[in-house]
Amino acid sequence: MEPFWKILAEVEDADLEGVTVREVLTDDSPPVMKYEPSHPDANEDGYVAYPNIRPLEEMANFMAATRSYEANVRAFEAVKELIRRSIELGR
Amino acid sequence: LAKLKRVRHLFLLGRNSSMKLDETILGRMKLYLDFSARKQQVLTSNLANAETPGYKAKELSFGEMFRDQLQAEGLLKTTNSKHIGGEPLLLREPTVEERPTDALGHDGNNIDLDKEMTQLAQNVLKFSIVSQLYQNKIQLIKYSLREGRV
Repeated sequence: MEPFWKILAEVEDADLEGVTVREVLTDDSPPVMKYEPSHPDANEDGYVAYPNIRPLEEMANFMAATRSYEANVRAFEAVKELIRRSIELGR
Repeated sequence: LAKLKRVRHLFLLGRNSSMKLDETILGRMKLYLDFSARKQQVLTSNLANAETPGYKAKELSFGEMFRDQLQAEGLLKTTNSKHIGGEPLLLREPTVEERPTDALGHDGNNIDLDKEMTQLAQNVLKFSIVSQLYQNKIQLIKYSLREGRV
């Protein structure tokens, strides 16, 4: 039977992990083709290759990112609260 | 002089008794605060990985750890199989456990942000309560050291 503090120390060494940005990838999905023969960038068939950005998808990702950002900010504040309490123990 | 004697008496009492710090009420509260701080780490780790594909929520459970600790100290002896702590003592593995999966996202991540936030708030609250109790206990000790004078 291990003492409590030892278990806690092991927990600290356990695989708790943060996150990092590994790389920024390019979305290889095909461009949006629109038929605009009069457009200066049109190809010989009269199609213009518009960016493959889908606003709805971007917005959905954007909202998810915002939400988890806020959650992490709140976690930060929670940790600050714990530290503040710990400091007050000495008073 | 009487006061000095009393302080000395308290000191000797603490030293001679077989009670270690961990077994006093203050020690217990310290254990909980340690645990709570560690739990915060696990929760923030979960939050940070809310978008990591394949990440499984981790959990630190206090009840079992604490019971094992008490059992090890022989403080939770049981006379009936229905009492808490009736099982035999087991050697413990490190206690970060993966939370049982309820709803897996399409990327194999089972973190529920709302659940994590509730746990986080709960943890902060409990930490605050215990630290307040700790302070109160210290106040009591100070009070008796001053022989009841405010």
